[in-house]
Amino acid sequence: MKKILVAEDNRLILETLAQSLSREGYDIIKAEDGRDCIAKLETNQVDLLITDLYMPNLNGLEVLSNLAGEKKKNIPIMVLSAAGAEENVLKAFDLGADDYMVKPFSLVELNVRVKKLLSSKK
Amino acid sequence: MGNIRFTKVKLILLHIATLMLLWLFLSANCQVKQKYVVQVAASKAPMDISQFSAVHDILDSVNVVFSENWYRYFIGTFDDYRSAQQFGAKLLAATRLKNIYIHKIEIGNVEAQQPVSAENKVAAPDSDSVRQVSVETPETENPGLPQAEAERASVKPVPDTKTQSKNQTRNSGHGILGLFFSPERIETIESRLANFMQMHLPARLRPFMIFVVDKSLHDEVFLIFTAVILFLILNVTLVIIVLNVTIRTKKMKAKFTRVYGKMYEEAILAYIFNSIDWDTFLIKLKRKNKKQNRKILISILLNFKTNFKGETEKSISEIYIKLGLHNDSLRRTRSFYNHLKARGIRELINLFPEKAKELVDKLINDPNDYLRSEAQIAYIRLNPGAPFNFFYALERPFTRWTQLSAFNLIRIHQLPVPSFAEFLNFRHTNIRNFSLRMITYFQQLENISEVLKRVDDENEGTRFLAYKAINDLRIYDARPLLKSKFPLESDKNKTIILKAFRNIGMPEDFDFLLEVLKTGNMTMKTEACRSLYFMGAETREKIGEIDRKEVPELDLLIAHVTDPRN
Repeated sequence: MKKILVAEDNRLILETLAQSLSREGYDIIKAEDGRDCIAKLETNQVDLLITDLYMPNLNGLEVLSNLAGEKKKNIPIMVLSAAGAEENVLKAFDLGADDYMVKPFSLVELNVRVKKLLSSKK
Repeated sequence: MGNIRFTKVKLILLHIATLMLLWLFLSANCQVKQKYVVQVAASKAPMDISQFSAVHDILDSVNVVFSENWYRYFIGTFDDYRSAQQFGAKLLAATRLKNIYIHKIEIGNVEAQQPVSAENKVAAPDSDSVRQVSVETPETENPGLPQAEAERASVKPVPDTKTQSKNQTRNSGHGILGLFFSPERIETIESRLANFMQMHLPARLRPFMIFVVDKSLHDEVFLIFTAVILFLILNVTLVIIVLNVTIRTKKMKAKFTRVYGKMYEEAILAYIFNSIDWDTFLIKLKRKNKKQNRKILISILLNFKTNFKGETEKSISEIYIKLGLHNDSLRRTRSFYNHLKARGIRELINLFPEKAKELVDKLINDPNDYLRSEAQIAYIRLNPGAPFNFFYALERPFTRWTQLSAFNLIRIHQLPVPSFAEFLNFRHTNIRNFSLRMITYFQQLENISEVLKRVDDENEGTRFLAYKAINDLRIYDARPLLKSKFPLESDKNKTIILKAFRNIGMPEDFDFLLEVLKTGNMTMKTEACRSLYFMGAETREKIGEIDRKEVPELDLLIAHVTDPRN
């Protein structure tokens, strides 16, 4: 079973994503802020990271910056954000994100993108 | 000025400090205050003073003090023993009292002295006399009750001259209180307060409090001081109480929202993911008919709505309408309070847009800025095809805050950007200015011709934005227009024109900028120099050829504009 780490400070979104993805057959690890996300990445072998851009302690971009190069290469990263401005998207991709979804997003679309990202795992 | 944060601990400490200061101040003042009173009766149980006065023909005000399990009734207060003694003798003669006692009071402590008999035998003060009072309890345990009931007279106490004058001051000069109450009334208040304190206050605090009451009733400065202190204490107490209640209420509310929020979220998620049917869902939504709970439900649905779209979005709207929550939002839009109206609109826009449209159109010109702004933002969201068409109906200002929100809405939600050229001729300056800013930000080059027309606008701010747009959109062909407008413009607009030449200027504009260097003020000279320097290599070289006599500060200006700090 593929493991997905979801980092999101909004509990409602976190729970919704977790439920939606578990129904697709993934094993979900939840993190409520950036620091928690980094800690869980270090202790778990995950196949995909879905992170929010704005989170307490460490934001999504800081999480990407803090990820060791090796991890960044091996784990596909999807960024979720309410900020769809071009500069945010570009910065996220620049820091190693593989996908970027702007809120509000469709859960169906998210599942498709997740599947694609997991299949294209390097 | 820095902000002072009043935490609960600080307020309590302040309270304690105020009380201690008051205690210290008054303790220092309440020493060596000995008074003499004429005791006329004493009893183990309280008795009716008016009846007692009537029986014994006493016309003076009778006060009562409770000490050592005795209610002691006395008349007058005197600064020295002799005055009290004289008054006692006259009292015996004028009333039906049989005997009386002179007592020394040390702020609440009654100390009995020798009795004054009807035969006018007065003894010197005796330190053991307190015991004597409690022992000598003739008749109904009333030591000193009068016997010569036949002697009736209306003689008032006549203390010695000094005491008399003081007593007059006491009786007639009650300061501020004297304006509102008669001396008798004040004496009654004092007596009642003294009695209350004797009965209810601890013995150690009693003398001090009796002193405070006595002083306050007879010394207006002291009264004001006491009133101020009391006011402060009450204020601090009130603040502490309010803070406490507010914090407790807030915590309870937060806990309530957290508990029910979690419960509702789980139920909604289960329903959305088809884990439960509608009936089970309704059962899981406990207390859903309570106002506060419905508010929590709406906020959760709003959270869903702002983060998800597609199937989830549809389910959320369905839940909102099926639970009748739209009626709550509609009720809010009819509220007396504008912030509630705005909240109602926000809820409807997100969860029931069809209903929101009707309301929004009506509120576009609402006199309340907050509500109008909310309606205008709602209009933009609900009309993605023509988001700014409400400008045609707008009669009130399009505020800067709404402009910013509208811009943010377009940018973050990536809404289709309309052409803003059609709004450049609008009557409202703020619409014209907003449109110029949007044309600049979204680089709407197709609107250049309309932008150029705005340099003739009657409003200085609009012209400023038009010059800025010419610069930002790099409209090179506008240079002759800028040069022709320059002499007619305000200093602020002249500066922005000069700044534009840095980006759109050509070598042939050298003479225009040189003229500014010669004749302009220092700000304009600086901008002209900057534009010439950064316009290109050709003009930079030509600066060196300028006669320093014509522009004496040129080298300084060049040093300034090339300094990286500027």
